[in-house]
Amino acid sequence: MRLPPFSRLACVFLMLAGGVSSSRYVSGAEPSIVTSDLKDETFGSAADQGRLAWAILEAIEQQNISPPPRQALIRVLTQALFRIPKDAVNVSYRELLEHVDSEFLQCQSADEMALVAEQNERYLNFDRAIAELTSGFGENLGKFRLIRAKDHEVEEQFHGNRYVGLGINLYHNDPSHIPVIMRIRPGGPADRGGLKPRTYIHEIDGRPTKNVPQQTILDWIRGPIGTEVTLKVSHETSIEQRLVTLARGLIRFESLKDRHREPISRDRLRYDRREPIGWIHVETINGSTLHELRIADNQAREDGIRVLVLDFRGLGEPDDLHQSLLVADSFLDGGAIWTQIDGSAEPRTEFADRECLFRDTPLIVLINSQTRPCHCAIAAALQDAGRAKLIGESPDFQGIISTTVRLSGVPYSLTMATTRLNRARQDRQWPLELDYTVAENPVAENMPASVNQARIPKGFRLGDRVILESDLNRKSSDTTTTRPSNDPTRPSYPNESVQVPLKSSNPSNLIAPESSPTRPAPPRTRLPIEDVAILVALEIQRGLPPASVKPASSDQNTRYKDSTR
Amino acid sequence: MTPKRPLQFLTWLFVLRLVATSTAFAEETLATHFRRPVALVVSQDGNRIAIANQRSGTVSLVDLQEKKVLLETAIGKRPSDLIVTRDTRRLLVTDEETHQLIAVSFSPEGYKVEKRLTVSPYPVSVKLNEEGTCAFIASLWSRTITIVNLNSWLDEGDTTLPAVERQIRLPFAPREMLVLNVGDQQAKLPSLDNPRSKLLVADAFGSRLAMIDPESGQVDSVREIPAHAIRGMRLHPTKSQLVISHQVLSRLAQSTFDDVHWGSLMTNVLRTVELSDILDPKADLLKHSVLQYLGGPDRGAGDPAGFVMNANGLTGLALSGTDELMLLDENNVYGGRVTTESYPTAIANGPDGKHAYVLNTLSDSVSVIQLAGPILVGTISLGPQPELTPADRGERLFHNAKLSHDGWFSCSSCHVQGHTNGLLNDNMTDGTFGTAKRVLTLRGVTETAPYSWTGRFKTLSDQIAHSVKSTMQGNPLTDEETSDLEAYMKSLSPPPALGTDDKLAVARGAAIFEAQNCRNCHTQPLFTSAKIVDVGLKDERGASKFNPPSLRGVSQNAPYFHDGRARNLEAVFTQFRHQLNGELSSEEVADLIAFLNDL
Repeated sequence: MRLPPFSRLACVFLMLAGGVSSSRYVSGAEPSIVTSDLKDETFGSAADQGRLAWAILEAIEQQNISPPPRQALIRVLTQALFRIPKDAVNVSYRELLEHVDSEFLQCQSADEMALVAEQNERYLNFDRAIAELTSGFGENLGKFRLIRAKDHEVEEQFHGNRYVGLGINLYHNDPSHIPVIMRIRPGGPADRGGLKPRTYIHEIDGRPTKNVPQQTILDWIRGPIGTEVTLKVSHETSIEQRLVTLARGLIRFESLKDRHREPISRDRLRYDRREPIGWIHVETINGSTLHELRIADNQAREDGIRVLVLDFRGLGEPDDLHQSLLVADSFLDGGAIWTQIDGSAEPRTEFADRECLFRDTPLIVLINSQTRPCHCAIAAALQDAGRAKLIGESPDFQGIISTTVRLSGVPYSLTMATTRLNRARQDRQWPLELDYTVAENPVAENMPASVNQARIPKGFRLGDRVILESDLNRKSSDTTTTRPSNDPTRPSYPNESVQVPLKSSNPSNLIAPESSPTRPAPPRTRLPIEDVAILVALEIQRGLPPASVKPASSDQNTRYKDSTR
Repeated sequence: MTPKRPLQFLTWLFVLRLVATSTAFAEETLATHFRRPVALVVSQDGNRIAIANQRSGTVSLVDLQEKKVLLETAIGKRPSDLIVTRDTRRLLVTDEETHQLIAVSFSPEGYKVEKRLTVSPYPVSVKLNEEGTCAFIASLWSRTITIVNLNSWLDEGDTTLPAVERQIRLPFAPREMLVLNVGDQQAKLPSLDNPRSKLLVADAFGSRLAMIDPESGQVDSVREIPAHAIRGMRLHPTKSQLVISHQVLSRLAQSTFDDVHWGSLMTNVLRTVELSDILDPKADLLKHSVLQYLGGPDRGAGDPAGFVMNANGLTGLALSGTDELMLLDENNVYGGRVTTESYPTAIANGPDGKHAYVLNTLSDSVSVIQLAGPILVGTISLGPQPELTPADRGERLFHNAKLSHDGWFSCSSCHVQGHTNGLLNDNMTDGTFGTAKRVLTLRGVTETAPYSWTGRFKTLSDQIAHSVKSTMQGNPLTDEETSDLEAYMKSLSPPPALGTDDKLAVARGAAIFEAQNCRNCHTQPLFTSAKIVDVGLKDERGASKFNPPSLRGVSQNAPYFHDGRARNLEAVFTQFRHQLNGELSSEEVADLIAFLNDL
């Protein structure tokens, strides 16, 4: 089985393992999606439940972008404050609603609500509370979620890129019902302890793991940095079981990746060694992203990068709005970034300082329908500042950001829509309007010709001839040539060795018009979005003044010998 | 270019002059006192260095071969910089307490003060022009560059000319200076028709750089870069670039663990700027600027200070916050660190370019370091120190970046020399994030309780403990450490007033101050009060109630208000009409500002 790159898998596993939903921090597009990781959770006494309900109420009132009236909130929350009898399966929801009483509505503090809950022996049903809130106020609350505070802490570790663990990815669906280590983070505690992939964990600190819920397994594995955990393990190739004691350590994940979604090495910032086009896949935006960008900026300068592609596509890991602000700032040479409205606070416009990474390097941002909200916000800021061209498919991002906030006095945190972003340019609205719309997925039969089809041979490689609309309309006396191909969709050219530069100065020519009755229909092949990005980058590069930095040396070329597309 | 300056040759002569006296002084003659060495010059043969000691008011001569102090002579109250004249007959020393430039000559008895010249108050650095005929003296609090005609002053040329040739006022407090030869860049600057030396002056606290034409006395340009705590400036060996060591404080980053850990809040850098951009008043200094980030997660490089660059491209940089010297190779790639003693600040190259001599300002010693490595070759004590007082221990803590998480910055990173960098920092001192506040001066802070913009902390020790733990993300201080820091801050006097000669205007301004009831909040004698006042200016979270800062030395504290929205005092009254009852005429505003400038 070919496994995906470790780091991505690691993140996914760790996220899931932490009781962290992959839908975190998504907002706007699907406001009514309910995410609760607490189905089996119980929390203290009825009084504690009352305090929790009040804490939720307070958090919504104070931090939601459009909080409902308090009375409505109390009504909804107290509807969920029920002791659910075992035989209540068939009790109708309407019947339950009738248990709401006026006492709750008169509460003015956590203590009062705790008292009422205690007197009435009411317990909060988490799923019901969330369902009630989202059905009643879904549009306002955004992606609404209640999680344990300790799981929130793990999320914050990811946001700070300071996750503490063993550096393992667990598979929980093995037929043996025993967790299996699938991958090992190089250099992590498990790696240093000599563990290998395909290792079964039978016991954790003496506690059997068979049939134990995933969340519990992870609670056992996790702990403060430096503390030890003893595993009884066996490899799949052996029946021998042995004890391994590991110290929990810091596990860091690169938020920036190269074109192949691998960590950026010194040799791998260029898309291809022949052209000074850089490519950075911004997988997630966390505490270390700015630091990683600074390193990449130095690499780009040394490598003579002239145009940089920032790949914002895909389901990355959860973003952090604050860190996204710092990242946006790092790309901008002054000017407004966006206007941020937190909860009911006054709007404040954030301004970039004049320090600017990749200065004088035009940017191209690739986005798609899966691009995460904070990535979208950065893309908008770069577009508004005239710093980047946006290519891809526009996500349905409406400028609403969800954040997880700690609840006061209870060990839980709540995710909801907390921030509304307005664009730096007041004449621009959400969703994003892209500079070049290119679908990423394979072309549907009924896809308009203007999208996803360009007059460029399928499978073109950087350095091959690039055929633009303008080229195709030329006579054969032109020097346009390419290598022979068996691909019937590919034009045939006599001489492969001749290199033909892009003829058009307008990258928009890359996308064929929907119809062109006055011209003969050119061959149309789908152009991958990556290739469109590179073509646009090449066009931009040709418009730049001559490089003032030294081009890639022959020595650098050799460094790219393992670079493949 | 072949160096025109005869410094190397002449400093060799200077050494010869000292040979005869070198054996007359033994180490045991050295007094027991604090010295605080702040500036040094190295002889051509690399055998001697002369050092200005700020706290003891002395100059020391050190034999590097014998690794001992040959002599230490009292020459003033508070020496701040020194330099050798072109003829090597004298040292020129600035004294920031007596406000003098002191010419020191050599004699068999040791150093001898030959002449004293009063210059603009608080001189902190001195440089010579290319010919060695003029000295440029930067005066900190009086924001002035004094140009001294050395020929006239030292009776060696046309003595009919006044010694003080010119005084040039700046809009900021200067410290670091660099003399630039415009002729080198003439081809790149067709707009400049008169090639001659220029003087580059850097802001001692904040982010400004001024280019001065010494001949005309004109300030060609004053430009800002994202920087503060500019502690070192040098011309790159290629002569085409300027290199500056400084810090960068992000206004958007927050004093969270993550922002500190990853270097988002405070970065320590070497900035390279094209000299042609520096010399062109209209050029954007950042257009071709390149930053070399120093340190990184897990190991910050707090408070970069003086640095040297040798002909091979090696850079040795003093990290005054972490007590280290950092080496960068010819490509500015990190080449290692070596530990020095307390608070390394000034640094000089040996004549071979292979060794560097670092002044450990708070441990009164010199670290001799072989750059290739780097390797600590030896440490030379400048003399015995008495036992540290609480204030002395506090001073060391104040300048120690190890108080912060991973050594990214010290107290003095933002409170440069106990003052302020004038920038905004988003910390939890006001109880919220997203509400960056202006860094306040700590000078004269002792009696101005409560502390922080919101008056949240009733005592200075509470504020100190909070700042280290929260803003600096450091380990909690012990009670003794807190007390020591407080003792050091008590020793910091308020910033001296910028002052004015128009005492009548000051008197009129005092009357306006009284009539406007400014004293209700800014109450004498400290011109502050314990009140929390709604000033009608909201922060990003809607807070508008702040504790009034003291107005002592307010002329040195720009920009103003909690978020620095008023660039100067005039804007405080004309643009924001700060707590004014009725309209003030422009003359009244000028008088009020004269009064404030005199506080």
